[in-house]
Amino acid sequence: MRVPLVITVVLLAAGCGVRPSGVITGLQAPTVEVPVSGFYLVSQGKATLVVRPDDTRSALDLLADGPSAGELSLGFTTEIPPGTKMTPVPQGVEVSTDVTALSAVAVDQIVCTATTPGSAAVTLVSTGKSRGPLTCP
Amino acid sequence: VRAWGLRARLLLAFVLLGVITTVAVSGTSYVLARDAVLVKTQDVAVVELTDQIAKLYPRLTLPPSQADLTLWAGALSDREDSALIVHGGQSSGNTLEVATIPAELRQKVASGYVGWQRLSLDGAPVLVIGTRLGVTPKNGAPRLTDVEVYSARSLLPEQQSIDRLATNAWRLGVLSVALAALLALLAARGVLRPVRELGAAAHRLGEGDLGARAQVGGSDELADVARTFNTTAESLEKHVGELRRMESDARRFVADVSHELRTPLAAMTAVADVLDEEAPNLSGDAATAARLVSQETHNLTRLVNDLVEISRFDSGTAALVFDEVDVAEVVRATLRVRGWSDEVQTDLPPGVLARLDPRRLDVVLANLIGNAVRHGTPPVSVVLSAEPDQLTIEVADRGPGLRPAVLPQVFDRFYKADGARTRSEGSGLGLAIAWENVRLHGGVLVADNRPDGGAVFTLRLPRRLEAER
Repeated sequence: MRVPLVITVVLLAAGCGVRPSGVITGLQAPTVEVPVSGFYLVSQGKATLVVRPDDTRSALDLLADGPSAGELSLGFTTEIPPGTKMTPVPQGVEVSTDVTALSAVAVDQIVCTATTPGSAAVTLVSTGKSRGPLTCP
Repeated sequence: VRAWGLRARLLLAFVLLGVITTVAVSGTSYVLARDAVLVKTQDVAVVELTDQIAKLYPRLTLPPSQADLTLWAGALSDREDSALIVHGGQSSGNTLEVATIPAELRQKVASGYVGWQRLSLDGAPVLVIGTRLGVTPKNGAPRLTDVEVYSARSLLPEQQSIDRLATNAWRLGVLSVALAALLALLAARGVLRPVRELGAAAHRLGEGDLGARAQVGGSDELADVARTFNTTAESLEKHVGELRRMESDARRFVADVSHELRTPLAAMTAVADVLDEEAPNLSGDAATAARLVSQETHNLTRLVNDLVEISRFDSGTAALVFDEVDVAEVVRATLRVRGWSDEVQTDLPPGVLARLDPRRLDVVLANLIGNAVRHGTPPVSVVLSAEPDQLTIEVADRGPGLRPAVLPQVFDRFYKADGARTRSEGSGLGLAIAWENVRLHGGVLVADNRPDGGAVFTLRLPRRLEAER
């Protein structure tokens, strides 16, 4: 008769107050909406999003321009050959250099930068050649 | 007060009930309230953090420099919250450190969800919320970055309000236990009082107060018991009364019969005496018959006199006629009158004075000494001794003594110590009359056997001398 009572009291005493908990899972991580375009540079061998809050140029222009001095100092580079021009076309992006000669990371940079919420896949085209359709990893 | 009496058991049951009820009710509501408080606080903190993150835009530069991390950490920290921004190997925060964040939480955050966890930091409860920073650029889809944002908030205010809840629950518990104990005591009193009254009534009945009755109140089981007790006591009183009446009727009948027999017996005694005197002049059988009639008439007269005497004791009309006497003289007179002076050894110190009824003392002594002379073996001894307030007379013989089985009944009426002796000159009332006489004096008469053989009757009487002084 008394043992369960004692156990209950002990349990209650132990259950008092604010105890540490396990990890509680919430919604997906929040995103910050940015009114400027983002583009992709290479960091540690991967295409990584870059945002310049005060630069209002289009994403492909920014990509063609390459990393700024600050971005370079943080280890960001580009694998797009210098002087390459990129223009949006209905099925994807038209590239001024040979798309088949681009490295995989350079292709990722272009595909991710060109992907918009409305487009499922992006095809890279240059004179007579094309790659894709491709999606941003 | 018994350790496990009704009171203790009722008390225990009520208190247990109170404790269990309070623990169940207070415990449940405490846990629910605590969880509600915590969940609300956590949810509010999470919403606040995500709102703060959404406002990072003007300062949002990717990739962030160390200065940017510090800037963001400052923007996300306020009075309550302390932020920590982690990006790759870099981090920035004011109080929260990367090492504090549990690996589990970092794993959850890395998977792309908001996660939070309560920790105990230096004994104080702290809520840590973590999330990755997502960015939706103008031209693209939402993209999770490698920046992790953590925010810590102290839960001390919540702990304090939860502690207040607990304090209130304990207070409520103590109050309800006290109330339960009070109720138990009241209930126990309601049950125990009739039980105690019933017990007292039963005790009085056992002591001989046949008029004892229990108080009947209410219509519960205890009242039934009390009613049954009263009925039983009533019927017992009736039966005992009837028995007493019958016994007194029987005694009165004996007294009346004895009294009625006296007158014809007086006449018969006179005739028998004449016959006895004439017996030598009668022939053969007639002479024997005349002597037998005379003898039996005398025996009958003695029996009737004894019966009259004992019925006086029974009816309470026997009275003492006190006289201050020298006890040794009374004993000597008894021996002399009965003609036993030569057969009995005496040790009678002179000067033992006492106030008593000499006639009744003579009756007692004559009976005791007569029994010793008739049934015992000589020498019969009478020893008188005295103390300041009582005197003792021992009458002893050297015979076989009394059988142990006989001792308790030797003063009963018509009790014959010698089973074979069906017919004797004694009435069978002698020792009973002696005993009644001693009792009337306020003394004691004891029959016993001497260690070295022979019966001894010890008579103790109060001397009653101080009354005169």
